[in-house]
Amino acid sequence: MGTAEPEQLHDRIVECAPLVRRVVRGILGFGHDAEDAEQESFAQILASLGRFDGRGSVEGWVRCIAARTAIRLRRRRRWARWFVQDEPAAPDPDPGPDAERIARLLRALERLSVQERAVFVMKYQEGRSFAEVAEAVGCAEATARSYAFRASRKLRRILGGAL
Amino acid sequence: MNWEENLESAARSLGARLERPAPPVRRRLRTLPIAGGLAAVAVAALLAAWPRPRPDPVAPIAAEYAEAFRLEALLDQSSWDPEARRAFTEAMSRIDRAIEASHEALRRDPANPVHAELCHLAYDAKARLIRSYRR
Repeated sequence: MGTAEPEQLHDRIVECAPLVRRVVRGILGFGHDAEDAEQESFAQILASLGRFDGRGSVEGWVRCIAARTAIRLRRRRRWARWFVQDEPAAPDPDPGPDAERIARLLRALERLSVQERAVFVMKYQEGRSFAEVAEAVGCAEATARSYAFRASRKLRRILGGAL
Repeated sequence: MNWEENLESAARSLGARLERPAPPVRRRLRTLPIAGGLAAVAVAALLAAWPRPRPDPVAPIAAEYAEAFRLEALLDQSSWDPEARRAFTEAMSRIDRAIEASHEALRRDPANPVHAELCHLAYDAKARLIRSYRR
């Protein structure tokens, strides 16, 4: 299992919890699907521990699994979205300083395709290279660039350039 | 700050927010698509169960003998002697009853080849009777 001992690897995976949450929520938004994807991601990570070769970073590997799990879950439940909807049950208890801007961006992200949104999350939110984005989303690097371009253009149109 | 930089900055803010506890959400059923879906299923079920008019199994058989029966109208019964007229009428009425019975049986069980054959035989008997009186 590369250079990391199993215990160290386990600790580092546990430390990745915020990263996993960030990625799956970025792709799926706040809601039950994101919670399910978070749990599924950890189940997937634990199931694939034996396949981690230690060549890349643990964070990169975890991020990749989280993104793929979120995309898969969104595809699997695409019909359910016609019939059920997650909506805020109470005001955000922890809106933060940039709340309005973030809420606007989240609403605009809802209108992207799952690939465009995943690429947006990996590229803009996570600041990864296009090679890493392509690996996480499961497409060619050129396709990832194209998704990123389309996502940016769509968001600009939706938000009217005001972000 | 250009659009791309602006977008990156907003995305980083979003990332920071996403790590913190999520606002409470509740799952709600979307009533309109559900009602639409149920209506579509109901319409589809209704259409599937709607009785379609079945073709009359008797019609093609009767059509085969139409020409023979046209001759019946041309028979000049007034020139016949009463005995011949009575015998013809009696025989024709027996055959018509047989034809009616075969129609009923065939309409009840259109797939049964025996009923179709009996219907053919009844029509054939009528055609032969008409031909024999025409001579």
